[in-house]
Amino acid sequence: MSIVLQDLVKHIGAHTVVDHVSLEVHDGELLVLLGPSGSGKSTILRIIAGLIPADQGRVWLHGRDVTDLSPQQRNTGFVFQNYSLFRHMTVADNIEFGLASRHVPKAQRTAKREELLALVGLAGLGGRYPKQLSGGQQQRVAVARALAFEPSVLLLDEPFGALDVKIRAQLRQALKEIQQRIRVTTILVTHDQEEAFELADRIGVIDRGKLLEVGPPTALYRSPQQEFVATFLGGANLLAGQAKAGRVNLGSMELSNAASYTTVDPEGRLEVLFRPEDLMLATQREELTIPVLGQGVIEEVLFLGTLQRLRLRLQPLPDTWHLPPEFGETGVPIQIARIPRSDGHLDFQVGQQVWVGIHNFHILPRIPMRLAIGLDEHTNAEVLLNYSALLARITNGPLTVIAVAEDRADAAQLSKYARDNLMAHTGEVNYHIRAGRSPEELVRDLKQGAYDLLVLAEPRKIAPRAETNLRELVRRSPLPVLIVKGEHASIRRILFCTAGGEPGKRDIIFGGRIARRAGAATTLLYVDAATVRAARPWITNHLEEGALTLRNQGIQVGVKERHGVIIEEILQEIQQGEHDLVVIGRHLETAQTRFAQTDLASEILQRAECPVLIVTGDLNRLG
Amino acid sequence: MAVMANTAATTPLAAPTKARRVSRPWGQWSLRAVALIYLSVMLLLPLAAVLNDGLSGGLSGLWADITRPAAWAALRLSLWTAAVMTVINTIMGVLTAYVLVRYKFPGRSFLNAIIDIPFAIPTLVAGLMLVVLYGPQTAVGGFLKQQFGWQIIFAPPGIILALLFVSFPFVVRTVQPVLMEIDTDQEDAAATLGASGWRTFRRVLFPAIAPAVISGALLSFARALGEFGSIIVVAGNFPLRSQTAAVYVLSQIESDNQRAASAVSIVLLTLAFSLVFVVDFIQRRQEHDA
Repeated sequence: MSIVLQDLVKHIGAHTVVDHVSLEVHDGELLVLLGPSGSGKSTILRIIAGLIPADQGRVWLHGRDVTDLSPQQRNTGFVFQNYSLFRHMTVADNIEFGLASRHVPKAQRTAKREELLALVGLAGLGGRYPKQLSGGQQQRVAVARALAFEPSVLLLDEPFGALDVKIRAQLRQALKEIQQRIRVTTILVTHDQEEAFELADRIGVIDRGKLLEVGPPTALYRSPQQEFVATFLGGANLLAGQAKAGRVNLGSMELSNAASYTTVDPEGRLEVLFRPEDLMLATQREELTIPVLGQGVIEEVLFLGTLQRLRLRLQPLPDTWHLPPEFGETGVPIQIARIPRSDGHLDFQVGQQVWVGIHNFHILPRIPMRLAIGLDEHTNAEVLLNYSALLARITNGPLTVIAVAEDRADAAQLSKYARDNLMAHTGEVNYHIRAGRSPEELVRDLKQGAYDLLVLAEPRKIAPRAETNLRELVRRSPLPVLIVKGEHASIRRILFCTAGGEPGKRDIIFGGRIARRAGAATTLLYVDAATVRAARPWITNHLEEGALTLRNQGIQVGVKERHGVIIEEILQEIQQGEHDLVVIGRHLETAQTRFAQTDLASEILQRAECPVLIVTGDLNRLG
Repeated sequence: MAVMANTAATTPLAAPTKARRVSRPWGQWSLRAVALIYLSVMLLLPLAAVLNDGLSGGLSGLWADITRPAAWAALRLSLWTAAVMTVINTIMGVLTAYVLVRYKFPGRSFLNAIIDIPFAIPTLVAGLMLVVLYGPQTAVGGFLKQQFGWQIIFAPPGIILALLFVSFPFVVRTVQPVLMEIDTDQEDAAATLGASGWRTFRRVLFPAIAPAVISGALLSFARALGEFGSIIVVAGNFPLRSQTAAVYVLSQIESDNQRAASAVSIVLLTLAFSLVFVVDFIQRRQEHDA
């Protein structure tokens, strides 16, 4: 192994830039770290070179632990995004710099420099200064400089980022050839998937500091294990499929050869991925010799040279929907890539009705909703744990109980209590024990772990301290928060409050996840606070779109309008409708709501008799 | 079509400007004339007067005035103290600029702010501060005199200290912006290539900041040659011992020997002019490079 990274962690301020990254790169391999900008990939490269210290974890280069060594001692060749050539030195001096630092005799330096100039195709340009070279030539000088002292590994940070498309393609080829000739173990960082596919022996996909998946380009493209990887690499159509008795159904069609899949969803739901090129179009159903997905209308045709890209919308399919769920649209959006025939025969136009067939697909395991349970000394633990077990049964996801107390022993005690209480629960349960101030420690755990929903409970008895803790948690939680109030043995009726005007898209999509899994009936409530009644078509419109979003996923929806004081009307509706969960969105915090503490969410939280789901923050995955 | 539309759009805008120019050409020239006349009256006339006065005894008279023992000693003292100060100031100024740009530490913005203080306070006050600190009767001054036999005040070391104080900002403030523009990637690149910190400074950083360092140094040298206020307080006015050129000029004026004063002034002026021209040349070349 040339490069081994073990559990690297780097925080910058409150941000986790590198999040427990472990990776092994084989001798002579070219590994591409691919991720959106700001995903932490460059930081990993700098940690390997020793330019930034890691907060945690170790780095091995060729079996040597270099974690505590300076960059000078690590012997890594680094190519910077802007090349960072030394402006005041000639190309020759730039290339020889690493050798001169190592006191290599002049004659040897000259020989090596000439060899490298020839290797990168710049023979004879040693006497020039960097500013006399083109961008592409500068990049090659940077590569030569990084290779001159025969480094143990080569690290390239977006080396083609500053070049135009044509030169980029040429240089990619050149770099691949050089790398194969000298067999130096290489990590290249980029956000360009085309570049990754062309260069990589293996690709590692990074998102928000986490290394999600590593594998050969074709494997990652054809059979990814995670939704982000599937959608980040190339175009992707993701639909919710249904597994039944060993077969997989997608709408009305049954997928053949779908034997090997693992689904963890209690309803047998899974995600079916098909690439734009996995689809075939025909004007008549009979023309398709492959399984037919459905009929739709072409919405857009893009000409891209070799390829033609089409966007179309299928008529609604039974028991399936697009992932993530779209807000307020009917039908299933699909992207298709095809090679147009040069004689123009069989070209498709916008608005045309076509049939779509699938000749290839891949099944992704559906990740269940992961619950974090926040437990401290003030919490009504019994209520919280009973409800959490109910939620976990509905969503079939893992539970993590985070027990927090000022004193570690007290936290352990809380954790033990939870363990005793959850004895009967059959799903996966993890226990975290944390000593410290409750909101702080809990939020820290939430930011580190992978959870989708935080579950809290109202305090056991009225204590001002507990009240402020709860409010602070709701405010600071990066996840949606569900606050349990009272004993509830089931979730049958869910109320979505849209009082402020528009129903938040996030509230509806996230609440929908729970509603669908619980098989609950939902009501979208709009409260009109205006004294003068008037038709507001945009509100009706928005409510209809919200209802449609839920209905698309097979959820029963009702829409209701009430008039009067918002909070009073919501409370009355909860009582009259016998709702056992209220979903409310939380708008971005303003200084006003923060100090006045009179926003609708806190008011409902205070006065409602049933559990409240406050959808806030950044949602990782929807649907 | 697009080109046509473009021309049509710009013409009405351009027309009034042109018309105004044609109708009042003297407006432009009068502005230039005012600037030139102002410059002549304020700068060139006094210069000519000094030149005329200094050369009133002919070139040999000028030479005799300059080589009089007191004048010669004053000029030598001014030059060597300014030179020593420039060396120290250059090294410490570059170091300070580097620390301010590259490191983050508590009090950085405060330090950055107080660097300009020497520009703001009267140089007489600067001299006074040094006398209060190092004077023979004070604790620090007395200690240095007794232990090491060092006399600071009324001696060349006092002059150098005063010069260091008043010209401190020059190097820092010329080097700082240039350093800020240099990407830290340059230093990181040198580190991955195995270069030590010193080698990185010498081979990578210094060549990039050298023009700024040199202009900063020359400016502080020029400033030091003409410094008067702090030196008269710190060094007194002892001919042949602690009398600098600027102080000598004052003493000659006071003893009604205006021609001798002018002669030494001509030397100072010549030096100052050449330095300003050199700095201007370096800065032009730097702009051209960038």
